[in-house]
Amino acid sequence: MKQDRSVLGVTWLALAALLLLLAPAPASAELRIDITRGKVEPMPIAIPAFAGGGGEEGKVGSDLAQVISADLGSSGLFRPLDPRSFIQNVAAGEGPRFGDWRQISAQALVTGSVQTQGDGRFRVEFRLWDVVAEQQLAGFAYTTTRQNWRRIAHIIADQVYKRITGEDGYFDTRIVYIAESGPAQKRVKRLAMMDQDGANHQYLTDGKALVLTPRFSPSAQEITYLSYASGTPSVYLYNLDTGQNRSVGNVPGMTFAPRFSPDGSRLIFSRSENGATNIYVMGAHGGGMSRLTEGNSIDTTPSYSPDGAKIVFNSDRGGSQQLYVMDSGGGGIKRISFGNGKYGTPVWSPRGDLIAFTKIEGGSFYIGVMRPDGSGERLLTQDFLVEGPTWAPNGRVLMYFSQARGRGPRLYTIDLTGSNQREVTTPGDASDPAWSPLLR
Amino acid sequence: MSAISMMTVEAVERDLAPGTPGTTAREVMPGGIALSATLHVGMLLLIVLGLPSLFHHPPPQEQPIAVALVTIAPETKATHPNPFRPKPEAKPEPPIAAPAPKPEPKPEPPQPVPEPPAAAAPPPLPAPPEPVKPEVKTPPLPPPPPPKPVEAQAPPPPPPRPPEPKPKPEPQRVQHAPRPETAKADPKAFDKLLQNLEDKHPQPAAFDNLLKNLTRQQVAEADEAPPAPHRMAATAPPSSQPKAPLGSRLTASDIDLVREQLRPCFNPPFGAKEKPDLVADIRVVMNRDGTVQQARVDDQGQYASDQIYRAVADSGIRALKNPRCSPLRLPPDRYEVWQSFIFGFSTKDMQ
Repeated sequence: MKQDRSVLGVTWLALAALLLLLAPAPASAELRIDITRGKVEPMPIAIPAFAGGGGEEGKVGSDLAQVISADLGSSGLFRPLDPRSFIQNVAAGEGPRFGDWRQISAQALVTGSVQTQGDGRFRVEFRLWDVVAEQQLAGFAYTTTRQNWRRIAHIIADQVYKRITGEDGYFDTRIVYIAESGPAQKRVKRLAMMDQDGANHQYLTDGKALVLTPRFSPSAQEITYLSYASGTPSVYLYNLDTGQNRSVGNVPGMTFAPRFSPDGSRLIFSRSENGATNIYVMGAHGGGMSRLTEGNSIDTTPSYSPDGAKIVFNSDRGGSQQLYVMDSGGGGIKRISFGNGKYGTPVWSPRGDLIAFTKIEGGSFYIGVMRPDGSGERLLTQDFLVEGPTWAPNGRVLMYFSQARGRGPRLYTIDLTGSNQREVTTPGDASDPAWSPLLR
Repeated sequence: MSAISMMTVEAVERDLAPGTPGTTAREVMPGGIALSATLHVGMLLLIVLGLPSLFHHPPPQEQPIAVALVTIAPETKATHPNPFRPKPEAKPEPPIAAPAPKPEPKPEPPQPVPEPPAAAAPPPLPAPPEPVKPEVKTPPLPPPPPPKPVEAQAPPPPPPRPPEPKPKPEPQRVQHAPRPETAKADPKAFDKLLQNLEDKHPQPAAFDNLLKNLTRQQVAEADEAPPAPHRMAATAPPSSQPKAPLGSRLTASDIDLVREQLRPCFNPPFGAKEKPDLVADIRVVMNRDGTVQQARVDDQGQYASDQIYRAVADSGIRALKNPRCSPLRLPPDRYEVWQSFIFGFSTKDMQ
């Protein structure tokens, strides 16, 4: 009998424990649903012509909208909607009727106006609206001279890009590159500059001397490049404000592949002397030159990390051309590329997270990126000849030049996904681009 | 005693005598083989056919579990029309207050007026009158019935839909405005219906009273001022539908359904993929019809300071309010459960 009782007791205990286990969770736990996946697609955005009083104001209002649309569309992250589909005419001055914009699938709306002030300058106002949430996301006004309206458009595009993506924009920037013309035996190479969308194109040198590898200073007001003006390749500085063009430092031997330090105070470059090519640094306006690498190998195309603490360069010191990272004072050299093929023209991203490079493998050229420790190598594009990547200031887009068989080189952009590749229109053949920082 | 035992022993020994080697081969073996063979066959049969069920248990009664269908497809649960249905619809009225917040963003416009880039421009730009203009213009936001001007402009748009369907695509506002009318109309219609029923089919007195009580009750409820969201849940009308078996919780399939529904509308910013650990929590208050009544970013501090966080949070709110993904397919009978909850938006599982 006793045994029966104890068995019964154990059974009840087990049942009680089971019931406790099965009891529902306390009602106080708040319901939560995690959405960890989405759909990456360009955001439909409506950019109607900015309202203007008529005449020139009206034309500028319309042009502003077109430039903003082109900028945002070129990023691949926005899909500007066809103005012919717009239902509401916001140029009439009334506030947005969100229902009308939702009906054409717009998720964002940019409205604005242009007014001529008493001093003859334009005052441009714009607002960015979230059509779905029915609220204003951003609103700014700018005043500028009439000729400067394109920059206002780029600045507005940057504001929209930044507010929607959370990243800095890159539309209010310039490109300096080498404009090429003439037959292969007598090729003319000139320094040229334009807005990132190809507008406001201008030549900075006359083509009498061969020029190569131009690079912007952090202020975007100076350009350093290689020129054969003196007969031997030397590093030059071009000041965009004054138009002054001069050689830097009077350094004996060949100097090439110059680039500014992140603070703009120094220039880093390669110098070839007595059969060896090493990396040197000196003050941006000459003086204080010191050598950072040693040996008989070819060390070239140096590029600073954005914090100025490291330098990436390519060298054949290991037998083939590979990428190396060293401290900015020289020393601590570490190889970071270990894939098949040769690596060259490394450029550190303005964000510091990636290094872009050119890779040659199996007779093909590639543009790729890897982390500063050499991991995570990704090849973004490939062609008969692709070379010379340069970063947009937000570190999201690369520009490079590409040459297909039977035609001259052209400039292209590609984003880090490798999916949004576009040609940048230039008047003629173009190579060796360099992207400026955001203009101030 | 000892003699007897001795004899017994002997007898035994004598019986055993035939077991001696000489006789075994000739007489005992055949029987043993047969026995062995029989046993082996028996074992074989047991192995092949299994043990006979010595105790025959009657097969357990299969008890139908009428659970799954009910939770996933609420429509199928509707055993008969619920006369109280209109009431919940009337409640969304409060969102009518939603247009009120709109004016807020407009007053904001007082543009921070960052000056032009290169152009030398007057720094302060207080320009009070100018920013005011847009403010004045924007207020018309609560565009009441804008269809008219729209139709006038309609000719140019070659877009997909004609201007007529307009009212539909504006789910939120359009719904809010007309609802009150339908709410009031319904009770009357129902009242008339009952009266008609009475006329046509005279009912027993008891049932008649019951119906009258029902109508009175409904009218009283409909006349009530639009209740606050919480109150809605508390005073939720008794459903004529069978109670959900899982009662107070959302099932995994309910949640998956919502995830699948929102996925196409969640368009996170490019850079967010590099921050998979970033989760933007959006606290939502839901309408009974599955539309979002209110969505608020939980961490306002991070929203103000972290651009990527802000972009992810905004993307989440856009997804929740996108007409393509709204209303959310949540089980209506468990509105109390999902009346308010948290959505955590991140790019954790994105490639």
